[in-house]
Amino acid sequence: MPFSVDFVPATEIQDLSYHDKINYILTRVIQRSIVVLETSLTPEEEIGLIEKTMKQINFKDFNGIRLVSFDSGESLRRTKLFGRSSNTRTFTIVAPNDAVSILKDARGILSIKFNR
Amino acid sequence: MSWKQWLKSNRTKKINLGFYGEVNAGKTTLANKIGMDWASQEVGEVSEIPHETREIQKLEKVKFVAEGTNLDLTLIDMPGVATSVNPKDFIKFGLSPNEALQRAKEATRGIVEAIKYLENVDVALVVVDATRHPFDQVNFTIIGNLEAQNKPFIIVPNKVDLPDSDVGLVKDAFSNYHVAPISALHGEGIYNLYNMIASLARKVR
Repeated sequence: MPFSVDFVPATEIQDLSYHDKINYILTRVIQRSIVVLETSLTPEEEIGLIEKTMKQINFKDFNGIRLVSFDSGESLRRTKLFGRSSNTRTFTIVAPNDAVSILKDARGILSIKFNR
Repeated sequence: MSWKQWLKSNRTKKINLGFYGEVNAGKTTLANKIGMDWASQEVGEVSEIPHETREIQKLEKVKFVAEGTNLDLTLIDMPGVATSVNPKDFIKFGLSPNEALQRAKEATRGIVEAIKYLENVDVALVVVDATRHPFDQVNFTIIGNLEAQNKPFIIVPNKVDLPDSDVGLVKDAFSNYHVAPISALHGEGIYNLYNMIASLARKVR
């Protein structure tokens, strides 16, 4: 089954509760979507997403996710200068584990390799 | 130093020391090193097969002294945190399909357990494999949650004895934090880590 890529504007999820946001993302990922969020997730949302993912893994067609926040790479440099980075102008990618390989280098550049 | 300060500095403080990090970063090797150094006991078994630690393992009453600070440590070795668990990864190591599936199921439960236990930790060691690129989101997610909960933590780049390790890259990635590079296997850098644990533990209320 092919993967689709969903670009989700920040406004789509900004008013969702913690649980609804996690469910929103995970439902799409389980349905074979690579979700690109025009926003960052809080650390609590990220860990909640991992926790929920572990409970949803069925070892047949869903073995987990790939999670990358662009902010993390950016913050490597910004934290040195300004302390903690802001959550503005960032994005987050959540993909089915078997859909992509995501690499991030020291400059914060993300490389996404789509698996066949 | 006043007598009150002297008494306070000599009081043994109870600290839950949690070992967090990615899978196969060397958390159990480090927990065993600390356990052997201070209590002559290991915490758990080490294996090259991912997710060897699938349940939280504890070693209590570890009497630890560094920088004049007396600690009664409980070493809490956590299952490695991951965003995916695939039984096929275990079959590569010779496990049967049934064994691999069982291990995978236990691993997912272990990850949930490790996440839930975060709030019970007083000081955390975030163990990073210095031979891998340090930009794994799991590291940042763990650190972000420790910060959000105001938990003191030390980034511990492990395996610095290996030729592929790049301590400079890890230090650069986490330059805003306490970083203590070590080889848990050979003990390199371990006393610096002990001093840092003592220093952070003193600040725990």
